[in-house]
Amino acid sequence: MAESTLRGAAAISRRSEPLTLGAPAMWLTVLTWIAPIAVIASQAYFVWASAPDRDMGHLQKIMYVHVPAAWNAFLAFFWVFVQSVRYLITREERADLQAAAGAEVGAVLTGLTLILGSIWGRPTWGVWWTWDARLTSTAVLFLVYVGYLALRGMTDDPERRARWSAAVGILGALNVPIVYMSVKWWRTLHQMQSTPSTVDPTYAWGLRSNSIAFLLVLVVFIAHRYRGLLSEYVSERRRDDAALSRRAPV
Amino acid sequence: MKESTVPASALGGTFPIEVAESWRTDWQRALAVAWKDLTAERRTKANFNAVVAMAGLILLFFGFALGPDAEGLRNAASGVLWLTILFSGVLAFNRSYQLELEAGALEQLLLYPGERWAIYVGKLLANLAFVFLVEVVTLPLTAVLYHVAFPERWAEVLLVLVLGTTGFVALGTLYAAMASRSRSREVLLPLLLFPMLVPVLIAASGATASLLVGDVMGDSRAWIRLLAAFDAIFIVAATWAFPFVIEG
Amino acid sequence: MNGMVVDSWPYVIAAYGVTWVVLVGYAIRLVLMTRRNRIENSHTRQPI
Repeated sequence: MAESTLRGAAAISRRSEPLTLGAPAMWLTVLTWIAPIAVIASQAYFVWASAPDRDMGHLQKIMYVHVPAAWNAFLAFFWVFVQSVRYLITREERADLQAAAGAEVGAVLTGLTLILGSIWGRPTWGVWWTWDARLTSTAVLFLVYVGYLALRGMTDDPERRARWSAAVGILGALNVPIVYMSVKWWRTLHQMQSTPSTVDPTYAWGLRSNSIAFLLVLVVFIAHRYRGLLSEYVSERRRDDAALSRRAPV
Repeated sequence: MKESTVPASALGGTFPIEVAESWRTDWQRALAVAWKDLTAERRTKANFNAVVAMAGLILLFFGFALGPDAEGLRNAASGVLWLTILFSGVLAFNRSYQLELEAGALEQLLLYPGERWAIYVGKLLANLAFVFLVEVVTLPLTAVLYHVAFPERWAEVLLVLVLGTTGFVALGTLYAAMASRSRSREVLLPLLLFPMLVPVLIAASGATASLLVGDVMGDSRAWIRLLAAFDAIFIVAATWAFPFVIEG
Repeated sequence: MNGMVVDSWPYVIAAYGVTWVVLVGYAIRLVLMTRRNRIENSHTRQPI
């Protein structure tokens, strides 16, 4: 009990540190311009440079957006995990806001991954959905994100919201590899075909290059979303402080 | 209440006896919480009956949806069983916190000195007992409605049931600590909980399905190991996360 | 492979189209939000 009072007092004293939102850092401004250029350049080059695949024709080019979206969606969740751990250790509101930013961007990328997987699957397999291990795990990840964001939306108290989000984020992240493994075993038992891969080196470079470009976009999106959340938090605090410091009754 | 003189959060206690003492007190606390929850449940029985009725209803509904063909039903039995357990069991978890919430007793419970994990373990045990009792009815009912022959390897089927239920209840008890105090708790709990249970559903229904037909390929062993690992990981994780989630 | 011979370009275009709609859409959301926050924060009133 004494311990939690102490922690509470520390949290309050930390809250009274002026949390401000300045202009974006130089690296962020620069990156905000570079990221879209990188994506456009990378996509344009590899779409042009890739020879049509023997089996899949030009469909393989969809991988240049599907795979980067997928990798970065999972990377975003890793960010949520790291920031959630950071929050539980330091109780810094900033860590919670970073996690929330990561979750929102991650949800968007995960949704995109699923749509692209569907678009790829239709001409390849003739179906709009394949219960392929990676796609299915991505669908589960999407629902974990949605749950995380729903919980945040329904919890008004910022401290409780931060604590609960952190717990949900950490547990969700722990489950990601387990879900992937289970779905993979489940699939092999039913002996379905796996996603074919190509040996073409251009393809591998295309994936890498586009993934890095997407990573830049991920960083830019999360950073700006975080700034947005921080700004909301700052103005919320300012309103609270103004209300508290008013001497005359309203 | 007999208290050890060392504060109960003294896992840094220097003498083994003091550490053991605080462990024992915490376990006593856990059992006390479990007993309290189960007694409250036993007095009204209304909730238990409702959940069991719900399970029966779900079994019927799946039957209606899947069609009366015996072969089809038999093939679907394992999946339907586990879905029924999950959909009916989830109704029980919020309630385990509701009693305290309504009476304002949660703050009181948290005021008692001692590790919070004891509260979690107590509620976990109570919820486990509850869901197992629901399954005592659900399992035979499924066998009857879905034309399942009594499996030779029934002991392993029971093992899968125990392992799967434990993982389910461990996470359900934790997430309900949050959902029960949120808006839209009826949808928030399944929304948060079910994605976490994907491995449980896949492994448990997979293992049950193979065991019901003799498990020629030996699949069930891998699934059982997955369930055991899942349970170990998430019981620890949930016990660790509980104090963060229950305070304030 | 089930050997489907199909004109693959519409799907490739759809994929890239969706990707850009989503990326640009989200970027616009961020811009609008930043603008709204800047407006809100510039109107802070002094406490009495």
